[in-house]
Amino acid sequence: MNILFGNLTWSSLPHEWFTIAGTATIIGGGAFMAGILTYFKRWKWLWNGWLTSTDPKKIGIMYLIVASLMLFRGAVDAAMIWLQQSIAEGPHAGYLTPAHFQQIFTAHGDIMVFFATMGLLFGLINLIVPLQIGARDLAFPFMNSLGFWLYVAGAIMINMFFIFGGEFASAGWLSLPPLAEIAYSPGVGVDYWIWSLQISGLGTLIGGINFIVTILKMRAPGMKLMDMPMFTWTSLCSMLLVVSVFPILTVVITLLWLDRYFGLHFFTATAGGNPMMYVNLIWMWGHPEVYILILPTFGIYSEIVSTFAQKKLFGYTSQVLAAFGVTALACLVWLHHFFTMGAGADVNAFFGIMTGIIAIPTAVQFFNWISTLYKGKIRFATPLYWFMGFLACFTFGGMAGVLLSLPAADYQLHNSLFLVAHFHTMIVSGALFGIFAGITYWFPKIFGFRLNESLGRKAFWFWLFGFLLSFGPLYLLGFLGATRRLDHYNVPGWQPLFIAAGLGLALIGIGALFQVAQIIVSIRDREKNRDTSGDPWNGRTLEWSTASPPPFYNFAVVPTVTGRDAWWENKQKMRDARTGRGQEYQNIEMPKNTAMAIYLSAFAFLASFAFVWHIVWMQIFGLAGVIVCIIIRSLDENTEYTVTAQELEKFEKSPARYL
Amino acid sequence: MKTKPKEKILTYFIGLADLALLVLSLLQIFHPIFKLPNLGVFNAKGSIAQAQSRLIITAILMMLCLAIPVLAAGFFIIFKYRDGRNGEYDPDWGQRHNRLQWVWWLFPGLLIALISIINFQSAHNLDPLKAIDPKTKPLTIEVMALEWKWLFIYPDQDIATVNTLDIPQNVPVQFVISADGPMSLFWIPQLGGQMAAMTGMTNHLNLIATDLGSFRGQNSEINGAGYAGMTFTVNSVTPSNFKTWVAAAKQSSPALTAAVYKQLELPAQNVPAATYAPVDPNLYYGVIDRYMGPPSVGHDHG
Repeated sequence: MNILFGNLTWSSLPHEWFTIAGTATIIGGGAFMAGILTYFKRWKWLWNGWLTSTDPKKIGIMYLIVASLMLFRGAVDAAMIWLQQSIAEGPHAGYLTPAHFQQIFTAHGDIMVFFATMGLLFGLINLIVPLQIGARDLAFPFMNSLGFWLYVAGAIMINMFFIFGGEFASAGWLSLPPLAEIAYSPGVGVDYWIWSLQISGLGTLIGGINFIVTILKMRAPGMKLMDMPMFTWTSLCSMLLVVSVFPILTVVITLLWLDRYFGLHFFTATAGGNPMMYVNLIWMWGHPEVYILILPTFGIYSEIVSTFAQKKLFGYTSQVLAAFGVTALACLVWLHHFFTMGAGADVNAFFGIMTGIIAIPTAVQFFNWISTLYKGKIRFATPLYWFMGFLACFTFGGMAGVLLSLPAADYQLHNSLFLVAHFHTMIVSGALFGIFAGITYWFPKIFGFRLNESLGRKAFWFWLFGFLLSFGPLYLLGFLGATRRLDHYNVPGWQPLFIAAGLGLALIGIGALFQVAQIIVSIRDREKNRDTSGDPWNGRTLEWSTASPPPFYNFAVVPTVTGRDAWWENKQKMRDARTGRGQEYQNIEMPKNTAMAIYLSAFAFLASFAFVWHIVWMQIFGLAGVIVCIIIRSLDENTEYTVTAQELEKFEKSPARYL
Repeated sequence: MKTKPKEKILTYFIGLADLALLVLSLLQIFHPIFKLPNLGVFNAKGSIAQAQSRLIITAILMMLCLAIPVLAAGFFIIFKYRDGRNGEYDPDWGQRHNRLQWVWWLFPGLLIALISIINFQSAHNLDPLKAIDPKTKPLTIEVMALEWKWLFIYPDQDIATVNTLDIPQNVPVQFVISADGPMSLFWIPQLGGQMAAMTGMTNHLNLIATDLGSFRGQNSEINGAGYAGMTFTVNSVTPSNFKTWVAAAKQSSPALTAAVYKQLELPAQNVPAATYAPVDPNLYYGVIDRYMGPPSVGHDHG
């Protein structure tokens, strides 16, 4: 082993077509962006205005951008999986080697869950929750920036294998041992997996703590817990799950790393290691993780339904209890991921029944949404279309879930494509459709102009039918005995269904193109679609009471809340109820920008990279850098600045007061 | 004796499920036309798989009883109260009927209560550990998941096979499952399944084939590069043909000694079927013991 470069050698550099293509994309894309920034002299603007910002709105937008890139990256993986499965029947081997194929679906799962969906959700939570509770910023603005930059470091780390090493983990998205142990996966792929999740997981945990404290401590005066908007409630539930279970992930992958790095035997097949322990622990995190993704989007749907039905949300108390029911039960069902590992009938039945019970609070939310729509005046805007798509798809996905909760049925469906179809239905129609609905709904708030409606609807229809066509056949394939993760099969009858699924994916691709077109056209027509009122949908909650886009301080005067749907009630009482109008301004404290989160994440990234490649000096350097950054930041007492009442008044009066 | 109302509801559903299964089996006549393979788990060739497919259909029907009315009502309401239609707008309806929110808990609650009953019952009735017929001695087959092939040892017949499995019709089979490599999952969709194969321990799976024929078997847990090719064929034959097969296998097959096993252990993809006789009697449990021994330095640094 080389002291300077650890296990890195010349042969670690890209030499296969996909690593060369990946490296070229990363370096080419980076150089292109750098060129544009240099040409338009935007470096300072980027650094001071965005990268070092502690404003949750800007961090939220950056989350959305990075997550969209990762969504694209995951979608390319999905297309490669589809292409292989459509052709690799019988004598045709397909265009991918088994090892490469296995890396692709592993990366697809991890990228979609950790970096696409989680990133989009954190983006929306950052953008909307502070506005909904009438707060100017988060409880810990620096921690928020740190959480974001650790997430970015993780997102870069999961793509580093393109440049150094040439292989990603190939043991499935959770890297189950003993397969992920050094004996069966000797390459650096699993190490990249470990360190990418380790840093981004820490970022998630930090974000979780931050939002819990923010929601509990920073609500506008008068806003009781039971006055909070549903999206804030479900975000709180989601973040409670984050702080409950992400430490399990951190510990369990640390133990896996100790096995791999120091030859310990926590989860090895040999020498008394217990792989089943890993399977239990990772699913104690993994199952709640699914609810971490779904819960906030249920809140988004609640907001959308009551806004577009122009009615108060029906069964608010019930809805809050249901969200908490799901949160609590989420931690009691992990064993249903491995009914087939040989636990007895009693244990399996217990976890199966607990899983079934989760369907109750979930279904209750459906009943409440439908009751909200009843006798409403429903406006068919794009977000409502996404809701309707969700309503239909999620019901059947949920049924598939209850079916899988029967251990005796699961013996026949486990690890089949039926399971794959089930969880894609839940994540795509549950989380992703909800995120799209939320982005469309809050877009005018975030950017100051509406998205094009007609392109949005076209995108929706392609997504919906594409989704049905790509996952319907997978349910059927599961019943036909097709297992997941097949790089090749010998059953001619399966092939038409795999091809149909691929065509569905192509439709989804067209839907995504419409979304891109929607954004481009909307930017072009931004003056026409500008939201001057701050309240384009006739909204109900506080985020609509401030300007679109909101000033960096969110509210010139923090609103006083007397009940649920605070903004709606306000509007009923007076015509021009814009918060703060005509009231007296006071000096406010806002957090300063800081680059420390970037430095800290960069050092954490270096240390992680060094752990992947066994470069001892760089490990020490990276860890020392992290510690020094923490010390410097902790000793810095000058982290806020004052916006005076006069400045505030000037900002409020000038039309170009943002950015 | 009077049956409880809940049980009665369940019997109705099971009756409906049988009807649906009948329709499905009739549809299978057309499978060559649609180029569909045997309809997997719904084309059951053994009583366990039969009961499992019946359970699946029963549960689906029960859930549809709630899902279809709710969805129909939901979409009816969405279109009836669309802005600009003649639906009455009553924004305060919710406040006047606030208590309905607690009624909503009853519907899914009842459904899940019923499903929990069949959950518990089926988990016990179809417990893979349970002997299918306590009166008959099952045929024991030791299953060893290797990289990337299946080794089947018939301890009583003193033969072994790779990636092919002959079983007598209507005789309960007890699979005793372990692994010598990464975790794998043993699955024969038309007979039932699945059960994990893990190093250093044994899992049990009881199945039976009530029909004659050849069925597809496979691994369903990713375990490395040869995962997709880790399939095997199950031949259900008459008991007398099974005896003939065993006798023939004994006559013309090489022995499975420790040395041969060492070769077999090496990772290999898409391994053709093979038969061995006689078999080292300590082979299966010897492999398990190997993983339970004391730590040996450097053993698993590949």
